[in-house]
Amino acid sequence: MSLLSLTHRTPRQASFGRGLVNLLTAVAVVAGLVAALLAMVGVDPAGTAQAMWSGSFGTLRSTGETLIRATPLLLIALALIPSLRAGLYNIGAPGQMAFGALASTVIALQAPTLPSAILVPACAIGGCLAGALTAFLPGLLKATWRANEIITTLAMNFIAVAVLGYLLTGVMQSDFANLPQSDSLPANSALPTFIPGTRTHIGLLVALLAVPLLWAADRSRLGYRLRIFGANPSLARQAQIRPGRYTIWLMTLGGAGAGLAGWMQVAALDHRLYVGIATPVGYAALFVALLGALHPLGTVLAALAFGALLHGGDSLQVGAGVSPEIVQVLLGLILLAYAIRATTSAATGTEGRTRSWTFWKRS
Amino acid sequence: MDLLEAILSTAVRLMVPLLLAALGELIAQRSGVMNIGLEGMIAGGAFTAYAVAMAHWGLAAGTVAALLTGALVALVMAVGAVWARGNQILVGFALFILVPGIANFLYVQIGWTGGAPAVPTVTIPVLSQLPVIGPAFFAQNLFYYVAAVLAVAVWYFFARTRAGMTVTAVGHSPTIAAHRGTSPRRVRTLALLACGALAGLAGAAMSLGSVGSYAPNIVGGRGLIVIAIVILGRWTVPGAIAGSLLIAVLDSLKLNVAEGSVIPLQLFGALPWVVVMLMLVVSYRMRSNTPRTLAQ
Repeated sequence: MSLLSLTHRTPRQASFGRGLVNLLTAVAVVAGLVAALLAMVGVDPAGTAQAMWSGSFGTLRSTGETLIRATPLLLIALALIPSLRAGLYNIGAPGQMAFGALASTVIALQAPTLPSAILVPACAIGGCLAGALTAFLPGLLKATWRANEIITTLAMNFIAVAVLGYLLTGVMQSDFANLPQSDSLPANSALPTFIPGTRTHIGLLVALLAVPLLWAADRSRLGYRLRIFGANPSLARQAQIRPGRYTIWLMTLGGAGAGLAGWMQVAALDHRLYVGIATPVGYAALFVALLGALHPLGTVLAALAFGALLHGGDSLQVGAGVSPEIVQVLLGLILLAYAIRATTSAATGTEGRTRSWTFWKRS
Repeated sequence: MDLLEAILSTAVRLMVPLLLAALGELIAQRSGVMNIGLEGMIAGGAFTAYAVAMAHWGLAAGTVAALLTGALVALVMAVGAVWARGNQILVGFALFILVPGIANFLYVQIGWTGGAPAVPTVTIPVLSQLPVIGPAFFAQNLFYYVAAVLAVAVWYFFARTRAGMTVTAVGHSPTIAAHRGTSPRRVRTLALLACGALAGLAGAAMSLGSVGSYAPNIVGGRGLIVIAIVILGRWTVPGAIAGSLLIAVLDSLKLNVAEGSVIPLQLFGALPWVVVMLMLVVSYRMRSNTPRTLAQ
């Protein structure tokens, strides 16, 4: 891969168009396979699709719910994009979200009388820092001891579940319920909504704000260095770009995004902390970033599509009597369809035909 | 003494699926494929074994079906990551999500309840009477003995046979192997199929052997723990055995000691994961025979 192409814009613009084509192809193949699976267990695929559509875009309220589901996906995906470009796979979003939500909850419950204008940003910063710290540790392990980040971030997910389970059945358990959940958050920690008739909160605007930020960062010196680091770590080392430091910062950035998403989940939607606080998002943000071709605008589209998918999938139980696990199947198939044509294996062959500019080489 | 005996006996029972999967992952990684999809292969095997057993086709049929399912998932991995030359990590991660998803969907949609029939326990006379280690190592279900035999077989394969050497060579340098007339693609495909079959067997050992029933997300991230075991074990069979036993002892502590211990039950669930992270750090400085083209 010639380094010259780094400076050209054309391949990047082409990759956006190609990403769109990839997306459409994947959707077509995957829809066929899921329809086959549904038909196998005796469910009408067309009816399911219709129930899913009306579940995600049927009414103003359900469109709002779709936007709510898309918000954390967009935010986390945008924060993950720089690290994915460098070949780092941070799958720890659920754990980072959980710790972010935990920090926000603790702050909100400790200072319930603060005015909203102080409490909301305080919760946001707390959640963001907690998420960043959760991802900092795997980043540090990767940079110092080359510990596989996929395993360590997944480990942090399970550790987060254990810690939340411990705290929510112990010191943080609500007095009113016998369930492992916290007290309700004070009303002045809630995020304001901005579309009447829906629960869509200003978190969506925060996530959308990250789009131009990423766009600008792409064009900055930092973005250029990141691309070199992602393309060729040994060249980057010669250019005095220290891979270890970049690894840590990139992981931490992803964690910060997930921590913010955790704050939004608990402060804007659920208003109390429970163990499965990150379940509505899970790993889907990683898929959004990949299927958006690691491009800011592509990611917005992908986040919207996945938000609709997740919310529509959850409403299937009522609408069509299909268990919501089908969404997991759908996500897996989509990623599989994408991954098979994503890059080339450097070990066994020459460069492939459909090579994404985002994965030249794994560090 | 009784407690120690119980802990050890449970640990060896829980070790069996980990060891079987670790042997499979060992083969795949030696050939240079980082098989993140292992989780999916185990989950596929666990569900198929349970489904076949629930259909009253017998335990043997269940085990064979699990083996085939694991190999089938591995075939998808081979097509995606080796033939189509997709990104190994991403194809693996897709299977990590997809196969447990299919298993969960079918399980919930079909609505089975109840446990599957358990695999018979085989007790070796005399040896099983030994104090402490007797019941743990000489009175286990059938899968334990299968795993023991397979562990020796895999060790022999890599240490003493030409085919084992070829697999290692492909992992270190597929280009040179190709120049010498071995097709890296073929070797990696076969290694993945063997890995899938072993992982499917591990799944059967999980749902029919150590747990005796199926529950959604039965594997619960074990697939990635096994990958950490293989890394800590430095891609050797004795290392894989030691690592599997370590994790299994931690799981067994959760089941046996947690009642009335000072450490809260929830934190016991995090213990294997903390150990896994430590394992990755500790193994960094060990003598390494890392397959040089792993995950490329």
